[in-house]
Amino acid sequence: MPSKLSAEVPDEVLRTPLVRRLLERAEVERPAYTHLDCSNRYEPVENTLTWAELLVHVRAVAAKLRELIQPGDRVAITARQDLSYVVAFFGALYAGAVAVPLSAPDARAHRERLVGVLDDCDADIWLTSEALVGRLTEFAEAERVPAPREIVAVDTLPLDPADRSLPSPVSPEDPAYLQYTSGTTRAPAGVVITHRALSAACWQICDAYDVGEHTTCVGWIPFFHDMGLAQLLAGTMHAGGRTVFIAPLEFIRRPERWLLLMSAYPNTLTAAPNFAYDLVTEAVPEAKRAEYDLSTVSIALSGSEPVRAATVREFLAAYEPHGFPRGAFRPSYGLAEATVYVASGDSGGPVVTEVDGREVVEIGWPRGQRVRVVAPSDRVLPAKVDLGATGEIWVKGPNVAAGYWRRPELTAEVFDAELDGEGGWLRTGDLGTIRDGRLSVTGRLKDLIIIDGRNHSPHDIEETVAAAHPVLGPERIAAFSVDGDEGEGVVVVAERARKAPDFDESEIARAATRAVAERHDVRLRAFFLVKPGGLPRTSSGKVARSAARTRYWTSDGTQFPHGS
Amino acid sequence: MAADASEYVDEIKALVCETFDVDPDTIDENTPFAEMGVDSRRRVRLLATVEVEFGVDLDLDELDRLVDIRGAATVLAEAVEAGAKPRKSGLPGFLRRNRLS
Repeated sequence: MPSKLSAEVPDEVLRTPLVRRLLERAEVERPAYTHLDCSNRYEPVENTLTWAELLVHVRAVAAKLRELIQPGDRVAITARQDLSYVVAFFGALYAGAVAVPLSAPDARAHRERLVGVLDDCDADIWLTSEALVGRLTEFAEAERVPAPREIVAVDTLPLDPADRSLPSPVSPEDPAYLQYTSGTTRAPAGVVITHRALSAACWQICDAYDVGEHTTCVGWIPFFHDMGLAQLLAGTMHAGGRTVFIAPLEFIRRPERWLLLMSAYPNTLTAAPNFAYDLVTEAVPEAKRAEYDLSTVSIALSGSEPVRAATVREFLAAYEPHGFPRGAFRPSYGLAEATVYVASGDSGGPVVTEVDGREVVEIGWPRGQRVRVVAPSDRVLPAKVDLGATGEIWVKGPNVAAGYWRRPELTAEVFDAELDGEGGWLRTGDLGTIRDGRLSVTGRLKDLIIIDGRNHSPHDIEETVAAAHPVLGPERIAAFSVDGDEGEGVVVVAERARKAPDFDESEIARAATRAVAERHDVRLRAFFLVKPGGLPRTSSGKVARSAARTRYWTSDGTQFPHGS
Repeated sequence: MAADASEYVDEIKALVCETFDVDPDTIDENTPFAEMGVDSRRRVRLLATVEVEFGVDLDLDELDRLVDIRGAATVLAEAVEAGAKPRKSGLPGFLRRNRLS
């Protein structure tokens, strides 16, 4: 059977740090990275760096960093999504630093996250653009973060076309960057991506989606997100094609800009979470759709959150008439702990299947790595997999990260599972099934909430709700994800205090909703106030989230009677 | 700010109720959007709707001020007042080619 054997990532790729690819292109005058600046909404402006120019800018950043740091020191990228981010990220790698790709401290919900991460990785050099230095200085003074030794505006550094410096020597096992999408706000878990894992992931992506010099990667997903970093920054660096990007909020503001990006360049590859395919279908009227010819699209991959059958159907119905090739739509699965990519579909187009009576969009085949589905009870037995059974998805390959930054216990638990006497398997915490070699993701074992492609820890949301109103309190809240027609959402069930005086239930719900929106930038799908003792608990007395979901939420989205 | 937001409050309220799908009787001009569960993605959608409805150009940096109907009306009033002025010129185009040549 296995119709597609997963090829192995070539040794040469694993040995070659990504930024060395720049040297081959020192004389190449083709565009490499283009920021389509949409701040003037009438005419987006292209700002472009050619490969040759990019190398000069990257060397300028590296020269500056070499004065400031030792190889292996963390360097935070706190820029907006523009060319300075591109230059800063690759400059940090070129200098042998451990890059920490973050965002600018723009939104309040981002600030708190940023504080937690900067504290965890202790990056005392921050790379940004001149326009943001003031804001970052204010941020550093106002927040409890380790004071930066220097905030470097990469767009003010002197350029020296005579600089012929080489990338700082690194071992393939050295960390290239830390990807912060896991853990909680207070205890963030930075995934340690080695140079080897990064190169492996780039090769896997290029192999899976046929990315090469002919490809234009287009999109808007954030660079600080694993999928954005891989699709818009690293993949193009590996393959030598071109990237054209806009800022994430510019897509939300005018979803048709995504269509512009997909249609205005040849052989485009784009990536987005499921919600974006909904948005571009709902928010763009037919008359506007007709302005774009999407036959230019080679790949439109959907990843970072569950791929929904209804979304795929509606998107294809809306855009196939405008040239979008059905076979370009690629359901994809991955996670930061595996750098980014695990498996995806092929040019046959998305396949909807049924697992346990539910519609599921099949993902497809892994590339350059092994994937197994492990039933929890089988873990001690020889794993009987590929029998259509559902279990936890385990991954092993050169793209799997080295672990979580300075978290040895968590690292051992997640990254060093044993299967058939072989250690080093990554436990993804996702549930799935493999049929004829094709992976489907069917659910989640871990208590993670993914909304619009962003990960949220239920613990963080519970903490926020506990503090939102005097009638609420710690250890009496359950936050969990639910599924519905609108995609994944978060529901909170809270026990009121035993000695609650008169209280107004709707006021409490408003307070909880407000606190969660302000701190996490997330809308609660529902909030239930229940009687003391109303939440199910484990034998050790901890609130049991999935049991709470079973008790208070049905799969068709209606609530059970609860009463407070 | 000299701009008068009051004249836009009713129109903004109508757009808010439509965009966020809320009952007009349950909110007033000072009800925080966060209390309706509005996240930044939905605030950007409101900003875009206001831009189209009123033919103005709003900076995404104004997003922090779109916290309630009054705030949104104020941002709009300022944009309308500034409408006659030329847009800020000059691009953050420090990395354009000419810099190297």
